[in-house]
Amino acid sequence: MQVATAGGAERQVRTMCRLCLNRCGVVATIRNGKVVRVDGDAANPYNQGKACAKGRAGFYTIDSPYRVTRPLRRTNPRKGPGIDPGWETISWENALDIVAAKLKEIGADDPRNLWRVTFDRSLLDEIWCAAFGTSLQSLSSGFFCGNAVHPLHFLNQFAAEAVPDVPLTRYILSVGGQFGAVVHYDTMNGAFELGHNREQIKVVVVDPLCSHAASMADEWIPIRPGTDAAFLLGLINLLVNELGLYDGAFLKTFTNAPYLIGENGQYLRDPATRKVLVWDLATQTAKPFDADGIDFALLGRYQVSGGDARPAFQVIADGARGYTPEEVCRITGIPAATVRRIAQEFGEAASIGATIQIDGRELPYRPASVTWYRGLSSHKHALMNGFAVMLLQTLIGGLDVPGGLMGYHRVKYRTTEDGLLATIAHPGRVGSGPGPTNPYPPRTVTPPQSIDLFELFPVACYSRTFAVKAILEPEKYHAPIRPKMLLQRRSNMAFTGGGREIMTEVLRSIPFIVSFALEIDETAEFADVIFPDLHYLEQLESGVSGEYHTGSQPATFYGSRPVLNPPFDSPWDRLVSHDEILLELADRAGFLEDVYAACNAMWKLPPAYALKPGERYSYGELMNRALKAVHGEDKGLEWYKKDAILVKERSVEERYPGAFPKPRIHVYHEYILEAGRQVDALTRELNIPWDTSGYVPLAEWRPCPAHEPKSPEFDLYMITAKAPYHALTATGSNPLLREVGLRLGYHEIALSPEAAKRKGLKNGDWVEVETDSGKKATGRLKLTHAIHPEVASVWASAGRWATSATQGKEPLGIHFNSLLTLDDEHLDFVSAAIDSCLRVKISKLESGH
Amino acid sequence: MIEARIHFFGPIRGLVRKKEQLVVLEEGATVRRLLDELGRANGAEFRRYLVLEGATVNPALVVFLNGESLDEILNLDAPLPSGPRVDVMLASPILGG
Repeated sequence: MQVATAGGAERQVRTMCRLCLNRCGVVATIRNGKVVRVDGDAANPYNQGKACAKGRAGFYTIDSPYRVTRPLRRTNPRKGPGIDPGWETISWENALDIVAAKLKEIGADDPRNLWRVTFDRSLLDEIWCAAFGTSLQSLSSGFFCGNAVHPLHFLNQFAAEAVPDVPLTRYILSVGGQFGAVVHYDTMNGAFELGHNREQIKVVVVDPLCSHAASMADEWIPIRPGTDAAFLLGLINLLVNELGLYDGAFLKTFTNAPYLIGENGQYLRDPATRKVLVWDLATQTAKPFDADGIDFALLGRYQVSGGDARPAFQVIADGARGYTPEEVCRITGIPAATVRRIAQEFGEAASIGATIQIDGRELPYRPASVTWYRGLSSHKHALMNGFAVMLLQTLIGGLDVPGGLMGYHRVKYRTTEDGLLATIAHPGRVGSGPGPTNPYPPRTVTPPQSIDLFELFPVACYSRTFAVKAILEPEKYHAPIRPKMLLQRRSNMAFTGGGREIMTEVLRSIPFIVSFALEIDETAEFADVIFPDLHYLEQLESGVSGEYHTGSQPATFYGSRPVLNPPFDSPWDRLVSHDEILLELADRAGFLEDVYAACNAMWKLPPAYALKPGERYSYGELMNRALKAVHGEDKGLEWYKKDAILVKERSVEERYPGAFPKPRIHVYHEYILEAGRQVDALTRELNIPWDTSGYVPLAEWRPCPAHEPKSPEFDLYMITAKAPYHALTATGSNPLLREVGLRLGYHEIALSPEAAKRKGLKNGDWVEVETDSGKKATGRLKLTHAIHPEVASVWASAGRWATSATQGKEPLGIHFNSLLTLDDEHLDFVSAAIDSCLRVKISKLESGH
Repeated sequence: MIEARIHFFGPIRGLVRKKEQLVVLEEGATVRRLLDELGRANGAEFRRYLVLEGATVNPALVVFLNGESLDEILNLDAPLPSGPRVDVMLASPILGG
């Protein structure tokens, strides 16, 4: 669209923000060849027509003085932070030939030796990897991100994530997450829906820090770090064993709560049919779960074939009984009376048995949700934390029903022989959600074949942390793959991985590294060759089938469209996607035909649009065919360039699938026992040191290493939290956001006045932080009452050291990940999470900074 | 006879060391028969990864027959899709999180 203004001709382009996972629909305004503002796209319901401050300031980096505009090659073979790579400019042709030759060499040997990493998947990223013969990983996440989140939502909601049904809910219990406040898939929608409905909802945030989300809640409950599972199990104990506030009808019909569990923790099965047994109260006999007319028992103890048996729900009730309010108080520091009150409030808000009319249908109404994220996932026993939180929501029947917790990024599902829900993978299908990461049925455990030893993690959604272990100690882990080349883009693993020291060691061990870089960040500093990357406002990229939806919002299809041309030399200034570089590399390395074959297979292109051997297709033509195959003959590339948004209302069945018949879901994780047995057997066979004690079928609270400090002088916990003014490491060099962060103290250590007084410290003091593993950092204190008195906290984006991020100045703040310890004690061998709850001592630096 | 053309995608290609394979089977051959044949032809390491037990293959594998997921077919003893030619896509995890 073109508008004449006093300041000159203006035009506006509808596109997509790519700074964080939310991917908001935005409109960029261009005047005299420059972007002058970015706003939320009023036509896009996914982000409610809004954009956050980060997105609105995103165009400030287009003309960054640190921007890479020509291919670079390192001349200094020595690599590491602070070591000058001796960059020299080379031609695009030269860069393409160098990288293609390496790909050809690796492809001919074992393609798995290419480590392909990104956190911002493009149209062709997965397809290119599949065609080459390797996997695509997001190494910037996966150390402590969704390790426990995704498996549980896939398991019970056939979705990668979930959010409260804000328009209908009345109670949100947020534990270890910042719903609607920081970068995520649903931040903008969550924030504005909450704003619209704020007076009808009670929001309770349980977090060691009064985070930005907590500051907007009705109540903030400070909790000792790493004890969330004890709090949640305390609520479950009260709801089940004292208050009787749970949805029995739902549990009987739609979960495995009535399945009989034997003394060994496994299902009891009919000897002849192998069907799982349940107890029928009407006949007082054990029957197959799918027999007609059963009056399911949820509670009780029964004798079956001479052995003791309990319904899974009774096992849950018995297991939770030890988490009395007083015991929960001892573990978490939350007063017993508060635990009791929250259980009562949550259980009553759930309105068990209530219904609501929506679109003429009477549906269950469960207006209470518990939301969660990294606070639970970044721990030694992450999956058990996930079991606890998902169990709480499942007990009230509050999954995918009005008012409850709504899954998004959904995948298809099937029914297993045990009558349980299992998701179906869609490899490479953009927008269909992450791949085969459902924990049930578990993947068969086999000797390691992947860079990250994924074969030893049968129920995890990824195992990225163990890539670090396998690369540094390949013999110990029987790791057959040792990356010979890393090809990375928008994944700053040197900063977001397991700490500066260990990631330096990992990156130094890889013989050849190629980065696509907008600016040279901490990871690109290790590259041998750098391709200039496009700013997201210069990209043309649709999600093909990717319809974005969240909560009960309509499904919206949209994507990235170029606002400007990149500042590259001609003809490369016509680039609209890094996929064009990938296609060129595939051509030069001899696997372009395989890319086409993978497009045909993974996009399921019908004959009319299928790519033919021997033909050549531009990036635009690939996108054109993919779009038409999904949206129809009239909605190809030209339509996308012109309009690029489709909004589709979803039916009541699509919005609230939990209200309609579907396979049973899990409250008891019986499958994990066999998975653990397989891991144990194989690691013993291969003599790999491995801890399988975490393969248990029910949530329990186990202490983190930080709960048992090595010495009493380490008297504080240290955690990290996300700030709303930075997104991942994509905004560190934005001068505007950097200034906002500095003003709000993102480079400082938050500590309570109570703790400071105890230690003789005061506001503004420079201190040394030392972990009980001997890692040290220095920083400045900011005293605040908005933190648990046993805890110090630093912000997740602080401590960057790349010149582009510091803008040539000294690094500011503590890099939290460099304080982590990647040893067996701190790693979770089930979810592959690394424990990021530290035990530290803080002492004043007498000499100041 | 049924001619099944198997396309290997993702890291599994590193296991079998080939991009595709042609398997000729008798009329009425089942999915299990096809996977058995692939297991025989591609060595012990691949067979262990494939694992044919009960009615399922290793859930780490993604198998599509003429574009339809094996997870939706469910029964390994179902006959292969009718027609002289069956396209099989066999892929290992290429996504995740």
